[in-house]
Amino acid sequence: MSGGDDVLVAVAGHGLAESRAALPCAPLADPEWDALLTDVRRQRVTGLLAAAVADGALPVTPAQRSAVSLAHQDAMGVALELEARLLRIAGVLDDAGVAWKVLKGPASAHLDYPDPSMREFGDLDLLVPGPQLPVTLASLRELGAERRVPEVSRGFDQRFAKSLEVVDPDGWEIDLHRTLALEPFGLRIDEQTLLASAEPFEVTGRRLTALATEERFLLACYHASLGNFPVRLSPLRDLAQIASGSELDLARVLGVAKRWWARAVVADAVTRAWATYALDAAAPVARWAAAYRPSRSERAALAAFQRTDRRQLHRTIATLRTTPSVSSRAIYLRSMLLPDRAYLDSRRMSVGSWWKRGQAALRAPQ
Amino acid sequence: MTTSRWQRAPQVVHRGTLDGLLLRPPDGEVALLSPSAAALWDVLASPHSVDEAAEVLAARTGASDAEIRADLEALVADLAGRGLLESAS
Repeated sequence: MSGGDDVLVAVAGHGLAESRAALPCAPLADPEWDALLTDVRRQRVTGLLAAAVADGALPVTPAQRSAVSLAHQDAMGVALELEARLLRIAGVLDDAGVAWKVLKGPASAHLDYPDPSMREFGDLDLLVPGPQLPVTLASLRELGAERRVPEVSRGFDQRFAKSLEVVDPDGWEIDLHRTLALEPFGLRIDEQTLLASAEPFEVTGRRLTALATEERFLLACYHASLGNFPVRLSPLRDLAQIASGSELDLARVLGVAKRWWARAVVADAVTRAWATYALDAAAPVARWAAAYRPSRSERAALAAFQRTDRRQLHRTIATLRTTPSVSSRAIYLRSMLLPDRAYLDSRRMSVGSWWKRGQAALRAPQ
Repeated sequence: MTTSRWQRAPQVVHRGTLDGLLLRPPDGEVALLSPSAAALWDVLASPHSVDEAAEVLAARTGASDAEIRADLEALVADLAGRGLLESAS
């Protein structure tokens, strides 16, 4: 890791009491500063940079302070645009009787961080029970929002999809999640636990519902371990942030993780977060993660996500290998082999080009 | 205006920044309040007249009521015009 990366990590870890990542004690030279600001924006940790500057933990020149301030205003402007939309969405979904919850961005900002201005976000993520996806889509259409990509095949959303993407008339993205992770991990998450998990929070007096702390922690683990690869700093920070609070019930986390076949994900994500932010290795969750030995199938499923090429193919193979129900496997395989015409059209592909792409992925060297 | 009571308009979302407070009304655009304007926003979490708000802010800052009141009249009118405040009476 370069010196610049060290500063970036220290910024992203600012405020974590146990982090040993150190910020510099004098302002950075302009080239290093410019690189840091670019990386901070890319990693979506502008709020943490602003907090480090506001707290006096990161010395800056007057010009650097102005640059942080503008970058933070940009990021918070986006967050406010999205929260304004969230309040409108709350109205229509509540009126339609949808049992929905807020995931990630606004929920994390208001519940997990000491100040919501520390956590930026660029879209909205809502959890919706699978059977209520159609009524949710219809309700969002009242606000002019439309689905971006059609369903892979009839019934795929409610059975297999992690989420579907909706775009409002101004181009803001709203992800409707049926579950918390892509297959194969997402297929092991039971909807009843998700439905029961709830913690209220308020946005300007409007009461909204997020997942409970333990499920928010698990979601952060899924995001950190199965999301972008290489892993981004923001989800690792979310995870460390929730773990640093006093409310996390580790026994409950591990119990749910076992039922959801997610212990390997938790161990992997925690290990990464602790290593990244140089956190206390004696913390109970870190000791558990270090001691956990994933099974062969868990390792294979994780490996499908932690690669930069052919992730879809490897995820499909892992799903077929680990899904217990034969009928589910058959329906999933059919959807992967023969997606609906509308889905292919939206991706500007024909059945032939879809198959050719799959064959090329299979033939490519490992 | 001094006898009317004012409060934050509903559904105005906000965030603190290094240089003040960002606000976004339901049907408007994001606005940046200076730290002194943000102090008024803080007071108007509950209804206050301009006189009452001036008293609270004078006690906080050590400035005179009269000095603050003159600034608040214009500020309240501006924020109300942008849909950020509403009359509480």
